[in-house]
Amino acid sequence: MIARRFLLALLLPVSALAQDLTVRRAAAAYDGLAYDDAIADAHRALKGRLTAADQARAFEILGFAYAALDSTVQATDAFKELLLLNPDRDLDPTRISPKITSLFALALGQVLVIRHFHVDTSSFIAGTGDVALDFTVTRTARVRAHIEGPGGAVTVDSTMREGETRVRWNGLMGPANAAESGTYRLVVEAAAGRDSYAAAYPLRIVAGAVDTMPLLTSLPGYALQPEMVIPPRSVRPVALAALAAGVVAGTTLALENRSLNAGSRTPLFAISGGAVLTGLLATIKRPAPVPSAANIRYNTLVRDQLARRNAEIHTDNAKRRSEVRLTVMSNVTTEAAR
Amino acid sequence: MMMLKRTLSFLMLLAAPLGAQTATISAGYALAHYSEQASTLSFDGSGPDASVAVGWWRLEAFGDWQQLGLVPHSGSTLQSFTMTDLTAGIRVHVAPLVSVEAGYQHRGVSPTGTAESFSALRMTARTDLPLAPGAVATVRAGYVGTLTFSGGGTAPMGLDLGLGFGYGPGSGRVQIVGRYDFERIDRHTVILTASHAVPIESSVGQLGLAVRL
Repeated sequence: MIARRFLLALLLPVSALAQDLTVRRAAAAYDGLAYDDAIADAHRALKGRLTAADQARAFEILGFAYAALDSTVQATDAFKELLLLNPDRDLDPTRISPKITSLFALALGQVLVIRHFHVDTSSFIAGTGDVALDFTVTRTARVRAHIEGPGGAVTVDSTMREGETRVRWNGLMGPANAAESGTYRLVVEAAAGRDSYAAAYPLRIVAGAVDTMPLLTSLPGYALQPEMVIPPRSVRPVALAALAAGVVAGTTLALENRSLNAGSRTPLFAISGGAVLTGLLATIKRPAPVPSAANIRYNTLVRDQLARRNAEIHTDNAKRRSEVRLTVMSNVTTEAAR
Repeated sequence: MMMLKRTLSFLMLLAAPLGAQTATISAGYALAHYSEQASTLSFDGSGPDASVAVGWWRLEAFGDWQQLGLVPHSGSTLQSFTMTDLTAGIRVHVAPLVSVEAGYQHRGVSPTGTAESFSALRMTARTDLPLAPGAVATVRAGYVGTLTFSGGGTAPMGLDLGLGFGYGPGSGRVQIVGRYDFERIDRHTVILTASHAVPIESSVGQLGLAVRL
């Protein structure tokens, strides 16, 4: 019994290798325009054990050969089998005969498959942004798309669809429940009459914190101005001192009692002269910085604006801290099941 | 002894001003002219002068002391005397450049009777004009309400007028200061039933050094 199993295990790869050779022979026969031989070899290969890729290759050779022999029904059937095995298969109309591509298109309209799934890697805030999931439905069908993963399952779309389709997912697995990091699957089920098709596409999701904005320390383009400025040199000090000295000296002379001896006026003139001299020295001296009302008002406005902007940032950051940023990446392989 | 302790305590307070507190001490020498009653009673003289001021926010307490030796004009037979003026008061800064003062002045004369001594209340308005850092000009004008005269009488009208300046290097922590004070008191006495005018007038010019602590 063990020997028999061992023999079987040895023979299976040999058998698969033989079938692979048969597929190659069929392809060579087709290339040599021996369509009958190609059909016979392809059928022979399909009776054995083949990998999915070889199976698809065999059906493709059958489709091409039947089309060449104008066997429309058989060609279409072969292309339908090909599409079920490899839904993303397309024929290049610039290189392949229109007779074949038209039969391939006919098969495409008869078979129900989901193909050409595509998602661009995108990053968005769960519940606010979304990610676009694109695929093509070959026939009008009720399509139900749902996402399954560590965070549970959620239905993304369930409508009648045909052709190129785009569904959007906001990253939520439930109300206010953002998806966790992990590997998810987008499962697309299509049903039309008795036909049904389902495909699953792995998605990689990374959940992270939303970036917050730093508080501003200055407003770009609005630098604070000096609040104390040195005024230009002027004769104001000496004029002011001379005015003060003149007023006091004049008033004193006017107020002196005429009935009394006024005495020497040296102290009055000495101090008045001293005041004027002080004013003169002050005029020559570097002026003292004085508050600039315009600059103070400008700075007040800038600081108010800065405070208002920072308050907005603070509020915005508080909101952002409760949000989740999701990064959704596409798969590399497609699982398909009939 | 008690007076000395109080004076020392006061000086220590001045030497260590608090955050918003300012203190200024100045000392100098004054030239003076004094007239009384008639043109014949006229004296000139000089003497030391000192003042101190301690400020806290808008308030400032100040005190001035002056001791002048006055001699009559040449040719007169009048007696020389020493006049000591002591003034203390409070100054309130009511506006950036304007302050008002309320003070008490006592003028003593030695020997007694050689001139009029009195005590008075003074109300003065003062403006400090900052000319530059460390440079200032001051103008004062006020009313002198005399309370008592040693020789009796009343003075319904008394005026005080002053001009001052200060200049120092930098921010003016140390300044050369000058001050001129003119005082006119229209004193009246009643002899029998007749009122007689016996005016008093003095002018003092002082030059000294002030230090802001």
